[in-house]
Amino acid sequence: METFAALANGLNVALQPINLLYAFIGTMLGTAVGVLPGIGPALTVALLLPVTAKVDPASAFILFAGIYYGAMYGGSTTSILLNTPGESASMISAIEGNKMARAGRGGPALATAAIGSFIAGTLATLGLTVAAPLLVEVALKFGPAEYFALMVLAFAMVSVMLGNSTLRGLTALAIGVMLGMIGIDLQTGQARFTFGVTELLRGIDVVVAVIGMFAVGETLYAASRERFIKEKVEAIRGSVWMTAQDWKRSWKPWLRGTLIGFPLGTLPAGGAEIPTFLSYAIEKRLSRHPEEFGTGAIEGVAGPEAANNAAAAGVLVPLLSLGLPTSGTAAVMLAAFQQYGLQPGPLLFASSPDLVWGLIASLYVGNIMLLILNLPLVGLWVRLLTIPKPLLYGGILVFACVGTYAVGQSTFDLIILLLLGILSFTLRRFDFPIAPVIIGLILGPLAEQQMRRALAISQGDASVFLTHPLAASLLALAVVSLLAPLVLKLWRKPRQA
Amino acid sequence: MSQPIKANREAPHGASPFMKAKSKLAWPEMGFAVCLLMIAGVLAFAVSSISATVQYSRVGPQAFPIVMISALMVCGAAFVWQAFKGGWRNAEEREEVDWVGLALVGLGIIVMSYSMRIIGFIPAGSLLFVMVAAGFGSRRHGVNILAAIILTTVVYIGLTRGLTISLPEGPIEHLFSALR
Repeated sequence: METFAALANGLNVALQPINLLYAFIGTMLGTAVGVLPGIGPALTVALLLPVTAKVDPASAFILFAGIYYGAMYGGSTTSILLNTPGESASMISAIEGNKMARAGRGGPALATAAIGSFIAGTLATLGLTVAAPLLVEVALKFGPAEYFALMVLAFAMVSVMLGNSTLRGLTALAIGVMLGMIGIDLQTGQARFTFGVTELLRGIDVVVAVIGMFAVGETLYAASRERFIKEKVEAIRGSVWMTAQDWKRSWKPWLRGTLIGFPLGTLPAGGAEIPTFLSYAIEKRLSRHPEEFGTGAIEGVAGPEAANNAAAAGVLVPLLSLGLPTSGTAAVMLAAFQQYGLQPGPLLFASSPDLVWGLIASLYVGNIMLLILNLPLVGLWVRLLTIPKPLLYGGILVFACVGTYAVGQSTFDLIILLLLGILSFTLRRFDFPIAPVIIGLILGPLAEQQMRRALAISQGDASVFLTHPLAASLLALAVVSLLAPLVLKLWRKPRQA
Repeated sequence: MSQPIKANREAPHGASPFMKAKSKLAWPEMGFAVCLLMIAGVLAFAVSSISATVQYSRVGPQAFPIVMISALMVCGAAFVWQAFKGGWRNAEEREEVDWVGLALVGLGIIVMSYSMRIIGFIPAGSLLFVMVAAGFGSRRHGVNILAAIILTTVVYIGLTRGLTISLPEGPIEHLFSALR
């Protein structure tokens, strides 16, 4: 019951007129960036970080949460009508959703996505409300050794789960960690990897890294392909509303998607892609109309969309209760906490209950706003898709440069921005995932700090990671999750030969 | 996230009968792997130049980077091996690249970076906008210039007046402060 008293307090914060306004702006912005190709929630939050430095932290996080949830709704609109996912977790909805749109059933596809997102989002937020305080109880027992082991586990799972290959995921992660090492080492005051460049002493700012890797990298990639692609926006024909048949076929996938998405989202594995793939596979197997899959089955939109939103809420559980970011957006949110001098984790629930519970309560509010924004106003969002690409990307880069400059008032940062953009483009061309770079950049220095702290306490005895049972089991899990795909591959090989 | 991922998860190794047929050296992948190894080498050299101070914790600022650089080297070596076996990229990443478009976007950022402090934010930002638009194949430069000036002016006024964030000033921006 303590939890619900805390949530009631949080609602008090979230329902203040100024915070309702921030939630509204956040959901609007989030939907817009979800709809627009080329920009995602991680980038938008990063761009807003310098701007919100003077805003009250509770309001700023309500704004960010709105953007985060909003992008999940908006992304589905783009994948259904354009067949180009606005963000990666909506990719699966593009398969069935776009087929439905082409068959003139775009309205019901959008509706099942929006209502499914609302139901899954609300249920998963409820899950977050219950699970986060429980995890806090566990986290209070964590020492530096356990935190280090947990971060190693997150590293392992991020490498395995994001992208198409463990090896490439691991490389992307290591590149990110090394970028995070640049600058002055806080514990000894020594400069690392600055190669004599004074501007590098303060390190690569997270905001600059996110804008470079996502905005500039994406723009470079889009520019390199623009001449060769043709896109067509499907118009919404017919009724936007779902028929009784549509409802009947949607409600179970919504609930199943939620059940798949939320727990997988809370794992230190990151992202909403895996749950959407899983949900799609399950709906295909359970459907009474398996023959419709591939030609526009409504279950194939309802399930993955619900899973997507439930996972988005799940990602917030480790972020808030452990301070562990497991997706690109969560990593940027962690950076936002750091900007305010706050450290998410068990202590934050005790020291700033208004902030944490205000944020969680605003998720409920945001979900209701998003349902209203997305169903009747979908036509408005579709108009965003008609912005010509040259103007859209021109605008994105102007904002990217402004955001970068605002961080440190330094033109040198723009050169860093371009270099990171080129790095991101190169990784993309060689099929490397980008999100692990950002996670490594933010989590790497934290992991190093915990490791050195643990070793300082144990007076340099490295066995501390193996004698603490919790730390040892987390590390064992990390080894298993790294080796499991490899073992599976080796095991499968002889059978095919 | 803005990065679309591919629908087909990577096929398990040796699953396709074509894998054996194209067991040819993939040059782009080899180039990538060699670059990665070279960067790891440079970083390893840089680590060795961090002076070792024996600390109470006995773990200095080198330990963590050394682990990461070793990981990069192992991965780099694995990529060399994969490159010999025909590379890992699928059709999407092998598609053509519009180098002119890429160069225009990159140049735009460089121009912005070096001109902003001299000519001011609005002209420099407009220049960037127009170059990016051209990079995306737009030939309606008049429309682009107009859109660029409107956008950068709105951004400039919004940020400097509304949010008191300072942006570089040039003659045009001085005009705004004079009008105030």
